[in-house]
Amino acid sequence: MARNWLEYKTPAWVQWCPGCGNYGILAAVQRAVAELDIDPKKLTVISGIGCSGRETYYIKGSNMHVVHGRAIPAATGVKLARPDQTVLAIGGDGDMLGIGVEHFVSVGRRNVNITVIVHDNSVYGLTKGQAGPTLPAWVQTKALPGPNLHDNLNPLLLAFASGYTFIARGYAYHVDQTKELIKQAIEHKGTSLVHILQPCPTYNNIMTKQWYEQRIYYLQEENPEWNPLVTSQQDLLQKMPTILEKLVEWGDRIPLGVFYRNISKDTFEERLGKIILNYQEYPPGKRPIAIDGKPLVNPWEVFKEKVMQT
Amino acid sequence: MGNSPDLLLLIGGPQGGGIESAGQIALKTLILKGYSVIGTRDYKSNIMGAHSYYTIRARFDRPGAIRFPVDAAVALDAESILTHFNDVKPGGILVYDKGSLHTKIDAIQPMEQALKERLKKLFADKGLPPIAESAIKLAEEKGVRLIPLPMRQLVRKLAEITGASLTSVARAVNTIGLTAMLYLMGIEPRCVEKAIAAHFAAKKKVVAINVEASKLAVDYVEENFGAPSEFLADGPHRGKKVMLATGNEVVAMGKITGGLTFQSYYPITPASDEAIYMEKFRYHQLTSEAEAKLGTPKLGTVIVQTEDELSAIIMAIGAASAGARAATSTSGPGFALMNEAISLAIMAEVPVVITIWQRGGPSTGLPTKEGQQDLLHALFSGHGDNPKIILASGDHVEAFYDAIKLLNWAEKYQTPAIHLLDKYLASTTTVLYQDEIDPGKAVIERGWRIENPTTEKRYMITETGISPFIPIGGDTMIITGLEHTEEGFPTEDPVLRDEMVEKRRRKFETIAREIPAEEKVVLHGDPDAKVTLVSWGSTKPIILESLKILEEKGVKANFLQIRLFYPFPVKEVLDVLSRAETVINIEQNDLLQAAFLIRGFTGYNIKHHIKKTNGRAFWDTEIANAVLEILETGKREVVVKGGA
Amino acid sequence: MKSRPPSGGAASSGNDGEEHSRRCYNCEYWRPHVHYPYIGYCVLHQKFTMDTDTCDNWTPLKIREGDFYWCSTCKTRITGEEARKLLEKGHRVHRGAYVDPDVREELYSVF
Repeated sequence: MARNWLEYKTPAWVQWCPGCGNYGILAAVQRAVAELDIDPKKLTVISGIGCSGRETYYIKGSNMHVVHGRAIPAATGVKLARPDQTVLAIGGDGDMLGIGVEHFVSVGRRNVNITVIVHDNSVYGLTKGQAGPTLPAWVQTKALPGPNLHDNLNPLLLAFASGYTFIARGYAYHVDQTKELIKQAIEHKGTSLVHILQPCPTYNNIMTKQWYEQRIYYLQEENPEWNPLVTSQQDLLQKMPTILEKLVEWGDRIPLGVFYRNISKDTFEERLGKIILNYQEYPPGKRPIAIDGKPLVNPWEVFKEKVMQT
Repeated sequence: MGNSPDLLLLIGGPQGGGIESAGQIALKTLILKGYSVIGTRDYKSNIMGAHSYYTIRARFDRPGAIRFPVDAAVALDAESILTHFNDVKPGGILVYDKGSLHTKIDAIQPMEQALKERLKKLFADKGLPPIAESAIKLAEEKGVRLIPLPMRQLVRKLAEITGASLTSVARAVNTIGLTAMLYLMGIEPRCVEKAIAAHFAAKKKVVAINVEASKLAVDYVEENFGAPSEFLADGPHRGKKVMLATGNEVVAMGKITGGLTFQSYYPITPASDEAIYMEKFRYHQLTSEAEAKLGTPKLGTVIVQTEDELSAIIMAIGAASAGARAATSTSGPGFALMNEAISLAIMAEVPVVITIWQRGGPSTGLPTKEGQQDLLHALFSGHGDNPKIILASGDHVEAFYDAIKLLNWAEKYQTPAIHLLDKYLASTTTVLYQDEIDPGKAVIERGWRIENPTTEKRYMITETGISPFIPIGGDTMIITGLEHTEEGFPTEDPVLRDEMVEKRRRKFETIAREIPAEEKVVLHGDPDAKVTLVSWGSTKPIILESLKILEEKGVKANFLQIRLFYPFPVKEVLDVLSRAETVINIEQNDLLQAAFLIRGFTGYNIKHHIKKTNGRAFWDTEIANAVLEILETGKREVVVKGGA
Repeated sequence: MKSRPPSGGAASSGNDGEEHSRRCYNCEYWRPHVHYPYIGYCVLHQKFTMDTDTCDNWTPLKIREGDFYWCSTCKTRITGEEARKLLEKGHRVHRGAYVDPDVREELYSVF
């Protein structure tokens, strides 16, 4: 029951540099939501600041463009207020893993049912190519006045340690494969990460298209038996060594595909539903708050522990 | 019903040492006696062991201020004796543990070095040794009635009576001291016992132990100091249904009554008690009418503890954009982290309430002490042109309704709305009557909301400056912090930019017009008085008490309480100030922040100021005396310094 | 060993400087109340006693360098090395302190 992906285009001029990996990611997202038949009104794409942040204007949805690093908490707020909305939090490596890394980590603890898409080009494009959190040490891209003195972090391992229940990696120029990863991420119940490697032809002259394409391979293609599905804590302990081995693989060979999909953990919305029993029916964004301008609660009844009869 | 007594009581002791329960039991005792009460806790930035104290005032009508000296104090450890011996009136009562008298000042590790040095000097000057007993001698010289209790023996006796069930030692110790004090002040032991039962409610064992402790105290006091000559007259409030709540709790109640559906927060003093209290009631019972109409007995408010304040405010903004009635709650340091997002909410026109519980700054400052230092911070928060609604509540009742009004205004005008409160209000407990917390007086409004728009656009340019609020999920659009078109697409076009700037300006003109005058400022007292006191926030009830003291001394003054700081009520403030002969500004900050704003917004330069910056709330007497001093000397500024 | 109920002490004034031997306060099994250290909990008899009480099971407090102790004079936790020095200065050192199980209800948010 797919829609035409062109329905998700907007009138905005797509203003990225020629050859930017974002074009591939944009196409992959639009095709993914089209194939999943998500009504544009029921889709929310939220971004922070960065080249990729502009994507919220290019994908037709009920979207938000917030401040640097904060797409994830905004997405969490939207999702908790309207759990029926499909919510994507998107951003670059600087936005998600630099200024916003505390949120990147904390959302994993909640396992909110949103999809986090990291556009990773290892540089800060909008501010002229400074080193991003995934740029390895001693690498000197062309805009840097000297070599990078910071080590690179591993987004997949960080997501795994933080409690994400779906972890995948794609490559920006592989639109079809990336689209499939995004579809699986959206369909997964829980916080999912799609980490997308993306050349920046303008500022990253080291990790280029050629550099990536010499290294990337798909887990499933190399090993048809590859199975990232985890169904219990016991299952996790059993599969952890294999999964970890792939999560840390980086260098001459870079794996792509789904690394980890854990269906044994409840989402934050499900946890809320155990306390606020009618949460799904009356979420914060939709529940009534008054009848004819009058409150629905009487504080003398709700807070009766504070009431005394003198 | 005779003349009202006016009781001021103090209970001191180590943090975690049962002081909180003792304070609450004292309040409940006095309520059961038919009095109106307030009580406030003063404590340090320490979990356990540092000195804290609870101050209570009770009389027939609700007291507005706490002050020293008090009529009676309980000091069951050496530090409490040394901290408060001078805080009791001549003729007042000091209940203390005679076992702690030989404690040397230098041996009290938790005590502030500066206080130790002051006391050692004071004692040395009077030829007294640096021990707790010297403080008792000075209190006695001043005419304080000493009530030494042999706590060691009394606690032994209690342990013998209760045996292995004596677990809550600290509470029992304080119940002994508290009962001794209340009994000697003329309160019937049965009121104390009833209060103990009410306070510990379901914990039958704790009730039993504390009732025993209370009986022990009465027996000992009667035997050694005699029964009080007569019991005090009962107050006029017996037989009423009342509530006893702190400022934090009242705001939580206001928000839930006001239909809040989402609150995010990061733990910080003195704010988190509000969210924690709300969390207890996050799935709450509806009225029977609401239940019948909606077909559900309960509804929820989602409360999320976030990883930091950056997340707290953005999560609330996200939820609000998706149609939730959303708020967050913090203090100065946390609000500093929220600043960038305030600006986002202004530009993106997102309705979000930020409750700021001020405390003493700058920086970490005095995390558990009073301060009103974040007025300018609130007003100027956020980068760029940054208007937002700012309302400061003066007392518990105002705070309850203001919490609801701010939720209304935030949604109606699609703007951040700041509720400015402070630590004194946060941790002051008061009795509230049914006509004061009346859900029938609460009105809930959401403004122009369209769930499923046809032609309306999220940032539609209108005459009033107010666009239709369309929640996420209602339409395709972009809620954005970039300057934008009516649909939310980014624009840098010079003409459209100005149209948007003007639209947002018109919105604030609408707000200024629509918020009723009585919400902006309140002139208390005789409008024709020659002296006008100006202040804001939790000083309100204190200043109202000061007015009475001034009147007794022959000075007629009125009090202009500023509630709305933005949009600033220029006309309302100028009308009052221009009529007064002498205007005195009263604030709990060093920069005189409200006076600065009054000057900036109205051009009126207030010439006299009373301020307090030591982290303790004003006393009514301090303000009255400072006013008299200014009227007498024409001084520009009086800094008052009361408090332990 | 037959124990007898704690006794005595009520008559003593609780003067901290006074020398007592074989009293609860310097017994291995005793934990003074964190705020009101004249009363404490005996973990052997599982009951509250006063600091100057005693019984037949009195056992001297052993000080070992690697261990932690509670100094009720300083109201803080100390190491074995510190404990030796403080005992010489007349401080009261114990194996641990007793905290009311419901103390949380008496505490405030403080930061």
